[in-house]
Amino acid sequence: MEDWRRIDVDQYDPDLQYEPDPIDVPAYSAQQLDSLVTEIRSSVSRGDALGAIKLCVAQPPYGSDSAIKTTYLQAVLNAFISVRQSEIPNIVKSLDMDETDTLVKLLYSLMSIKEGQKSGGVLLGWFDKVVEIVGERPIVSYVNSSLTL
Amino acid sequence: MSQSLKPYLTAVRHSLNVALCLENFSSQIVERHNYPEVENKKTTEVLLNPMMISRNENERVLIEPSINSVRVSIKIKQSDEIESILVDKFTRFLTKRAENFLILRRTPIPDYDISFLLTNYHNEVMMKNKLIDFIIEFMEDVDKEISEMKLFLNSRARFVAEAYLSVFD
Amino acid sequence: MLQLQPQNLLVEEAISQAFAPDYTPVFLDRIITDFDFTTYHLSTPESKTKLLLSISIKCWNDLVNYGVKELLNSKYSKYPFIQQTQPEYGYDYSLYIDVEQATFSNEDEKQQLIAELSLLKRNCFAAPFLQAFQRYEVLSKEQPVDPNNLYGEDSPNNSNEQVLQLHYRDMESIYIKPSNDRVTVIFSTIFQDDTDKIFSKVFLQEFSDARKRSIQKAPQVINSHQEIPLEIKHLEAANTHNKTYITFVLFPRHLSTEDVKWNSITHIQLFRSYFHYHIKIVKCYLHQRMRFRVNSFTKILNRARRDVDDEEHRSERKTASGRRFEMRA
Repeated sequence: MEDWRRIDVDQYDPDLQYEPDPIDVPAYSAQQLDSLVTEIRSSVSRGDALGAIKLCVAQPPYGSDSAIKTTYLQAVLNAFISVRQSEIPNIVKSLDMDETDTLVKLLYSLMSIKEGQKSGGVLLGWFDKVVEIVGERPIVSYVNSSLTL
Repeated sequence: MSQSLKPYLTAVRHSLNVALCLENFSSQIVERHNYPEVENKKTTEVLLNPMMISRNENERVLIEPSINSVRVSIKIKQSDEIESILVDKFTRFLTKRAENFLILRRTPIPDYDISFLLTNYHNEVMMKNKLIDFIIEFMEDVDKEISEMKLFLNSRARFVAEAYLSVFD
Repeated sequence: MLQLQPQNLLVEEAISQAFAPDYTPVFLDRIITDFDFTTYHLSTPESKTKLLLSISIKCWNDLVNYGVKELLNSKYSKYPFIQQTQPEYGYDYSLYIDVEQATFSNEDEKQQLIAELSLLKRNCFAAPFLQAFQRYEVLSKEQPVDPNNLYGEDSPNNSNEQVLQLHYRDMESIYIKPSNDRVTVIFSTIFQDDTDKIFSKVFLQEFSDARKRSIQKAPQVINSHQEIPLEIKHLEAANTHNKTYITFVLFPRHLSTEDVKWNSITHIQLFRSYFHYHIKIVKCYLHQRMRFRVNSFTKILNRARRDVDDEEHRSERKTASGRRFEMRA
């Protein structure tokens, strides 16, 4: 048995102080995700960078389980990588506030998974441009958001 | 400065700027106590989403904000055995002198080489922008220092070897 | 100090004082240590003018097998005022020097004796090397070097040649193997510290590269890290203590004349000390450097402090005419 002195007894407290509010989060089943991923992929292959990014940030699967999130993030990562550096400012400019917030959220989430870290340079390029254009607002909204990927 | 270093540092700078928005906050669990909330993690409603900024697999920064404290952990690049030894020695050297450093955490969190713990107190006695400058400068200098030390080691080894062998004739 | 000195500085100093013309004899009892568990004892047991210089070496028994006594005899018996006495208790070899009887035809001769005495340790260690060099000369006459041997492979006939062993430290040894066109010297060494071990790899790499790069005259250095070199495979069954093996190949050019031979011996037997010494130096330097860095980081951090800045700010507050405010206490 582990050291009983170190057991955190507070966690067994029946009236824990905080319970997350039930929020209505979009969840996808694997099938719905598949169709979304193919849609993103086809936009990418058409060369429609803006469309692909818009699709990515429209409705991320906040409520799904981690396997689905990873698949989703993988697809988003591909979309991010496919965009040329010079196109990034225009795309960012044509996104509205909520969409840029989600974009930054996706960037942070991607940087914390192995696949995203491999192409950290690209993600940082995006990040740099977003902050340059819209400022730090999306970061604030990311740290406070209860919807996470 | 290499291509990807600049965006990396700007990303860290902006993220820190957002995270360093601290206020005094008494513990909700123990009366008359005041913990860095990010360390005990008991009051979940005052913890914010952690930010991980990665340049590549071997270099990343984790910023964990909370209401009264921010924990910044840095993973320094280590491409070979020598570098990891140098990084290890250097960070150990720093953490042993943590009392001079105020914001330095005595042990880094797992998977990282060095951690800073910034609390609302630090934010009161120090200026936020200068504090951020320090962390950015630290990140830049550590990389530079490690590679310089490695170069020194190699050139010294070469010099010593040549000095020894040139005596044979 | 880049090179380690082969002579023992303290012995050298004591003896040159004793031989100085204005020497007032004093009572001496000095224990002096040297590398590789070597200890000197310098004393005046009977009268103040008679110096007893004793040496104790860890691998003395090995050295005796390789004819150290004969070598030392040839070195020191030509001086009538030096007696090779029964070794002092606890030591392996003793020389009794009667300072009063000492006569020198000129200054050079005196300096040479002082040097020979302070090089006592080297002279002891030289015995097995000299024996190996002699064996090499015999072998090279018996079996001249094959000019077609382009790759410098050791010829197969030599594999049965006896390997001379010196267990000069607890777990570390020197192996010397003569053959017809070379003498191979193998060091085995242990690093107490893991960091030292990794640094040693960098150093050894440079040792082996130095020859290819610039110093063609140097002996070839082969580092086989943990692997036991073929030459001594039959002596060391397994690498039990994570030893590092370093092989030096001395070519005929290092064995040509008497002077060159002694030069090679002097340097090669200092290798281990030199190697470890420089690893320590590098660590020391890096430590200093880190200390400096930490200081500079502290300075940067202190710049962020508000109170410091307030003071600076106050001193810069001036009136329109450029006068400073004086603070009233």
